[in-house]
Amino acid sequence: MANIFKLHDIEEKQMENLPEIIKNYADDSKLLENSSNNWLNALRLTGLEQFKSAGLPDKSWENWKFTNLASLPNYDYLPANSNVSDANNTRLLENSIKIELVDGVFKSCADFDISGLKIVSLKSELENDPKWIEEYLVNIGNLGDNPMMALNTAYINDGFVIKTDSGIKVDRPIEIIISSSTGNANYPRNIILLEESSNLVIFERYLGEGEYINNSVTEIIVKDNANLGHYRIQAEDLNAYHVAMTSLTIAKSAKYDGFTLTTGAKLSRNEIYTKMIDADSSCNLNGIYMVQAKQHADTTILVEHFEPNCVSKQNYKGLIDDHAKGVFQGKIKVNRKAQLTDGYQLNNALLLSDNAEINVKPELEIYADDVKCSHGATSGALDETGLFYLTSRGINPTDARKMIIKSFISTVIEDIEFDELKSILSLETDKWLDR
Amino acid sequence: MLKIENLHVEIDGKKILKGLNLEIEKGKVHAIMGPNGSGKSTLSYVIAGHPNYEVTEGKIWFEGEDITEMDPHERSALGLFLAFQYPVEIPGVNTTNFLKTAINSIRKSKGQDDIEPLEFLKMQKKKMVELGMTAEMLKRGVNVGFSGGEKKRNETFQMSMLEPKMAILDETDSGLDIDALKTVANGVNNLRSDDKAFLVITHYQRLLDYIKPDVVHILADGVIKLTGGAELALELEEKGYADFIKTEAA
Amino acid sequence: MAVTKETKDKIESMQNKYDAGFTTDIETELAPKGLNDDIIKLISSKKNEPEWLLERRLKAFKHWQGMQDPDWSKLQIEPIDYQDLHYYAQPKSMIDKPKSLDEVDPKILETYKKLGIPLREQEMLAGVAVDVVFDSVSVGTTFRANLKEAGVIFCSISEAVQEYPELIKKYLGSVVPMHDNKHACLNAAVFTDGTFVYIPEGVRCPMELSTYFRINEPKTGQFERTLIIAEKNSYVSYLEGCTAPMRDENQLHAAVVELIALDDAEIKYSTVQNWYPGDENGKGGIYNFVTKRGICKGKNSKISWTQVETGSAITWKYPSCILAGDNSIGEFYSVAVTNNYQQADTGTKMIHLGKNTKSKIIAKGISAGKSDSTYRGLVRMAKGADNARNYTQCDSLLIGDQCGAHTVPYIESKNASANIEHEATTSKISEDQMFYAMQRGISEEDAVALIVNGFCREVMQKLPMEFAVEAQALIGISLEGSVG
Repeated sequence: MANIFKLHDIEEKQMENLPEIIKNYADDSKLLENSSNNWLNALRLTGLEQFKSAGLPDKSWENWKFTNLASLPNYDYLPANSNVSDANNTRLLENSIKIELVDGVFKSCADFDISGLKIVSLKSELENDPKWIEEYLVNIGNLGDNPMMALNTAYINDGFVIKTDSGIKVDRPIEIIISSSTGNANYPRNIILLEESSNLVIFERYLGEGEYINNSVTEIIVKDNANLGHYRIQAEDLNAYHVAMTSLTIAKSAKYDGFTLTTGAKLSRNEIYTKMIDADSSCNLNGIYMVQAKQHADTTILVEHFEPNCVSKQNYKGLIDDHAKGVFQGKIKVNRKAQLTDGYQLNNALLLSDNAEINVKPELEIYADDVKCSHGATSGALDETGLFYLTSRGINPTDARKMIIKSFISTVIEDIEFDELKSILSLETDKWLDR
Repeated sequence: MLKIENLHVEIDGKKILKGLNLEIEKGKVHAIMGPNGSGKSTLSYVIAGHPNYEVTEGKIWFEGEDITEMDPHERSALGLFLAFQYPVEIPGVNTTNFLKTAINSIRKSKGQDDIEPLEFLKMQKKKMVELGMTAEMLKRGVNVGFSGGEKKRNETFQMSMLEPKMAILDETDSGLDIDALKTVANGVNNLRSDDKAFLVITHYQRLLDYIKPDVVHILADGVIKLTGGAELALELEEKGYADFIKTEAA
Repeated sequence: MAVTKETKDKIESMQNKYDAGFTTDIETELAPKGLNDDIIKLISSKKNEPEWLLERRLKAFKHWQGMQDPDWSKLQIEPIDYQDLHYYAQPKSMIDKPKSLDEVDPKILETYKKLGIPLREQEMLAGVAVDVVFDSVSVGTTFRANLKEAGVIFCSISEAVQEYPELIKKYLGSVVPMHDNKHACLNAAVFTDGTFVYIPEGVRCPMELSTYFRINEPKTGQFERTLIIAEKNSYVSYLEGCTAPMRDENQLHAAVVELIALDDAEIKYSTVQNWYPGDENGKGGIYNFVTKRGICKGKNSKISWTQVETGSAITWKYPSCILAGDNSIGEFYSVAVTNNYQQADTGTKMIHLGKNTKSKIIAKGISAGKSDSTYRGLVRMAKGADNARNYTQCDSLLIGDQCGAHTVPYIESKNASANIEHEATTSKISEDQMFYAMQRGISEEDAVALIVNGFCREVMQKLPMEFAVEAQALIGISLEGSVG
């Protein structure tokens, strides 16, 4: 316990040879609530120590072979500096409950009248009811293996907490607008917990202005028979860094339908670690990444099956233009007990320019014999024959191109189990194609 | 030749056969008819020794030997053949190779030497022509890419190659057009002899026009409800199962 | 391919599990255990090598000492005590080189006979020319005269060093540089013998060339080096078979194979590897750490790797193709069978540099017992690889619930016009197939072997006839005891 209070006393000399991003931690930490929860202070320190010994991940990490964060610029930790314009903050979903997170700080939540649904800031929950969230903040695996999660942990302070009581079927989607402003380093820490047999739909939108880093960690727990629809549009500023770590736990007969559209950020990493800890559950982890200019978009997924008879599906489509780079690493791990697993993974990438690049690592690690697991990956240019067919019918080449691209991504959009989102995604992809 | 006594069978805890008795003598053709779900296919699988079906009570004898606990290949070696309702595909293993392996396995269990390659080829060629198999079909993986009719032809072809003492034909007529049906029936009729027996399992009377049975059984609700001569099948065709079983059972 | 009577006989004759597990009682001249500059100098002087080669060896050794073991695989490898190995073993009777096979120690020939390698008469019928590497020394090469007539050079690498120094100097280490990885570097320092093949321009090698490797001496590492050069518009098919006797300790095999195909040339390289896999408890067996790489240097050239890997306690090998020439083609066909405690980490790298280059990868992994099998591969489309194509299919089959099957492909493309297709599946042998085969009278073990061979057919078809039969039998033998 002795070192808990050292949090504010970190000496400058200890910080030599450290990544720029952590150099001001001594000052930054003064902005963190020096919580009355000793475990929280200890946890931040663990995060800090682990990050210090690991450093920013580069090529030497097998998991980061294709995405190098070694030269991540230094941004300031300025949680109070919320000068983001409200221009984009209107809701896209008609009936949604709107939450706003600005520069990593939980700013507001619209009123709602649904009993059994809790939406609060992490900060307030740490003050008011820290007991239940401790488990979900502390048990997040080995931080030494995940430096960006360690970094976030060093800065645990705020974020959103959403919880449904058992049996609650929430009929309004929750729309979370997460915006960031230039020069800022944000470390939101979020928790989504669905108790047994509850239903919920969450729609996250990432926006921002200028250069910044948004390094978020979201812990999601879907308990027995619960059903979560979780959709994201990552449209950060094209000069920003976006590193989103999601840890997802799916219990018995539960269901998770996830989709991520990535269009933003100079460099993004969307990492999802899914644990299917009990039988008969299912999850979809689908998405589209559309990148241009010198963008770099990394999607890294690990689905681990622990128990029998679960279904996991990963289906990603990539459009890579200009000098952009796409990365997809997807892994299905099936442990001994997880017989009758149905695991599927597909990544199709279209390279739209001569300078575009794609790196894919689809992995299967299987220790049970009675399983059906497969993966597929393709990479190539637009189908010339298709283009020719359409233009020969009188369609102009630009429209023909768009049509083929739309058809290429349409299957993953159609599979989304939340209809209202489909038209939004369709608009977003049109916007990208017309840019 | 085949004797089944008080056979009770379950699959996944579900009772399918509930005390079935059946006796088939040498040289006879027995037909088993019955509505869907009566346990017809279960009976054929259990006689052949499918591992998923559990015999909870009763015994099966073949040629005086208790085969209830035997592995499928041991029953096959004794001369029992099952023509599958849904023949299985085995990619990468062609039919010739498959059959040669089967024949030699059976010969080995009898202490005989492998079949002479030439003799095998001669026999294969003869039977191929009889059953309308093409050389191309024998080169493909077992049943891979075969139409429903071709699969049934292949089953009959294998049966005639293996020369079993007793063959069970599980809905061999389903999915066959009239020409294919005739070829298959011909294949069976050519094999008929005083020392062989057949058990023909079918839903329709049609096949029995071509393979004349000596005895017809009606299977319903896991037991033989009724046994009679060839005329029973015709009667059944006229009245339909529902009616028939009700009246007769009453 | 039919399972012929011959195959069945072979399986029966191999009922004693590992038929190749006998040792030959031959007087052997051994270098002292351990590795240092002096041992390397000894190897070099025994082989009467030119100064430049010795210098290369010493340079490689120096570099090797600072190298780390490759760490990317999932393999569990007991640390290797490199100082506890003999780096040179030569049967005594070889010291005065035999002029013809008649002078070869009959015991050595007997060894090969037991292995079923027909060194002479049988070979005549099969039309295979064989170079045999026994521990570190090449024993004898058949058909030298016939090949010479065609202008083909087929000899041990030590001979080639003496007789064709310019070719060796030009090509040795040109595809696998000594710094490539620790195992390849060790080989560069201590390689003892191996095979050299040179096919002159416009020559289609009149027969299949073949080498059998055998590790006989205990505590001996085998570090052979193979170099095959196919000049413009030439063709060669090369077969390699490997066996080692049963021994309790783990033996090290760190080979390097380099292939060079110039314009319009084709090299077909086939391997059947049944090094001793260790016993049912995972004791003993060969560590098979092999670096194999070919370069399609010329336009329209082709390199095709086919391997059937059933042996070794640990297999670590990635036969690869660098597709530099425009329109060149690389192929990799692989079957890896693991049982008991075997571990295999194998796959390929296809590096597409030239325009219109094509590659095809078909990998079949079968795991049984408590074994682990991993496919690890890389397909890279470089910026200049316009219209390049790759197709990859990896299928894994699991037998029993104590084994593992893994697929780790890396796919990298910097060229929009390049097309990559990758598919992988994992499944088990279907119960329906087993029941069907058994109903037709086939025993459980035979049914497994039959279905597995069917599963591997696409690869087995690529093997030359006389290897395919042996490979089929080996698959059956390796899977013995995996069911029931």
